[in-house]
Amino acid sequence: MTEGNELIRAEGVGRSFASRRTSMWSATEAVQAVVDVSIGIRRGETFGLVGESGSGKSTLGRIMLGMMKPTQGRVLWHGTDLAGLDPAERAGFRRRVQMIFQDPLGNLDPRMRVLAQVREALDIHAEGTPEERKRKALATLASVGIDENLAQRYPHQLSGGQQQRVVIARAIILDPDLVICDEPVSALDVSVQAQVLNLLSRLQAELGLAYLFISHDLAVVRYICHRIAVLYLGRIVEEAETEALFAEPRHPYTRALIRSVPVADPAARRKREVLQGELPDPGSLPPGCAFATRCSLATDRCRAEAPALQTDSDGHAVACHLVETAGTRA
Amino acid sequence: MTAAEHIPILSVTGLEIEFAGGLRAVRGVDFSVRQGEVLGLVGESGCGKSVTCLSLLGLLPANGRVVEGSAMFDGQDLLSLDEKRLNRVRGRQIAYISQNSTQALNPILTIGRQIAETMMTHQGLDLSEARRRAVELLDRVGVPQPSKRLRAFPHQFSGGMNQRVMIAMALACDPAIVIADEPTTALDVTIQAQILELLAEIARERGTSVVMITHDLGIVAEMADRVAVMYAGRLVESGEVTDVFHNPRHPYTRGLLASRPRIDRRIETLTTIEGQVPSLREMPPGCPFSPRCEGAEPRCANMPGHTELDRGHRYACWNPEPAA
Repeated sequence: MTEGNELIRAEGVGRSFASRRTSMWSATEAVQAVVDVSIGIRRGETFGLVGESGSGKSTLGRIMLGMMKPTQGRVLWHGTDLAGLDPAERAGFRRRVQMIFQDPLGNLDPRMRVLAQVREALDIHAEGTPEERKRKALATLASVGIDENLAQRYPHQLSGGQQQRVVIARAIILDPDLVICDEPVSALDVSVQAQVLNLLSRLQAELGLAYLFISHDLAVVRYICHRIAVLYLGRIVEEAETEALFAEPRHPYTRALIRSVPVADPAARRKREVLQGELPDPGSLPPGCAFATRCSLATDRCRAEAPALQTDSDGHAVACHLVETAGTRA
Repeated sequence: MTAAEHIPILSVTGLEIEFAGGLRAVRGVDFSVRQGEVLGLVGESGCGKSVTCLSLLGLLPANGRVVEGSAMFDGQDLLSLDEKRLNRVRGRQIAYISQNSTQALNPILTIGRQIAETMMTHQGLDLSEARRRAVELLDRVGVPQPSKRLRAFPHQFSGGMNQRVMIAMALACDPAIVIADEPTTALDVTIQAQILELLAEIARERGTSVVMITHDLGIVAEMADRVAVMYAGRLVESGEVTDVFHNPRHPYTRGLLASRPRIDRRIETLTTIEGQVPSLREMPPGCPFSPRCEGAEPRCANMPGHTELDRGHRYACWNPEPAA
């Protein structure tokens, strides 16, 4: 992997949470939400994190944003450990990394007009004169398709799609390098999703932004991401360039995930290979591969020994014993 | 399907639903459900798809009412039945599965009690017989260790397991129609696939008709025999799934199909439908899609009627997309 133009890198990142005690006398169990994850995001690229609920994708996003500290490993910003940044560097990091969440209304202040909310970041960083800040806020809003009239409204007076555009404007106004998008279109209707996805692509081309794009929606991820990591119970099971991943998914979980998505074409109606069972309790995982309990190909070795992530010369990484033994495919 | 099997068991005609303040949420909707088929009812939020189905079961919220139309089922008009008669239909002949099963189930009653209750009410079974049947049903919908799980409460189950319980309850009285309102939207994709497979399998094996309300065109393409597309309270296009998906004539249907990324192929740029769904307060005159439609003409200010093509393929548009 090229490390030269890498913006941010998670190195062996893990995060455990203390879970509820089952009785007053029992010890608190730790649940590993993220286990030994290493990923790097390059300038201008969209890196996708996919997985189902409980896969640890949002936790990992929060760690990369510096909102949560990892319990293992570290996050490097331009090669420097986030934990070791001095206050000035930390302020710089906060400007350069922004976030977009799933629920736009929950992330806008209901009592502030849209324009004021978008301008707020400039006010905090005391950039230019008030008049210049207002002009820049309006220009940023215009670039995401919110005109002056809409800018004077309150968030609840806007549609869901417009609210998400405002959130995007607020995220890009400080010219960040990286925007972490956690399910940014999941709450939107299909026709509005496409508008917001195309807006994100356009902004990336214009501003050279990198995105960490967290989603459970594989079709959306295929459309927008350059590189994708698939998470299962906090572990990366596969990572590859988008087209390589979809053309040749190697991990049995990735294959099952892709096959589970219904295709909007009656001619493509496939015999679905339904993945059996549900997620095991993350508090009491079996010793081997985390996916072994649901994997139809699992062997005794899978149940006993956790597979390591192995990267081939094309940068396609898989964590599966069966892939190692059979060459490329499980 | 042959022509003989095309007998509708439910026919909805001219359905109009109004909410407080004179807001028409559903305007002139016609559709039918045939014996043993899966009908997909699709549209974006606020298009009236859920309200349409709730009205058939007399479950509209207090500020909504049916102002016109009929829904013929088993020789009676569902829309004019009193509560007592409706109770003989609801749960017994027409069952309903909601999106959020964990909320739909009663948190203080065991799973077994809730399934048994349906059969005790509608079929007059005693508790022990109903329990025995509940075990069979849970087993059928794939809940492991059913006789033990009977004593569990909904919060002890995952969302997917609760949705299986809902399906078991819906099937308890062997209904003619199951209305499933976004039954898998709250679930992960691998669990969604399990639940869809289960619903399809059971519908096939019992000859049950399913009305699947969804925003997901993928689910319709994989599950449904026929589809009805709604936009802003109107039915804009309906027909057999292959006709509507491969040869969409309404610009909204075409736009909707083009604006969703595909899992099975690479797409460079998504086509978008500009603008947004009009609110009920600001409904344009005539075709509700006209403000967003590239092919809009002056005559679109008048409401287009339905044009009917082969195999019951219908659309409501003055300036339809060319046939494929």
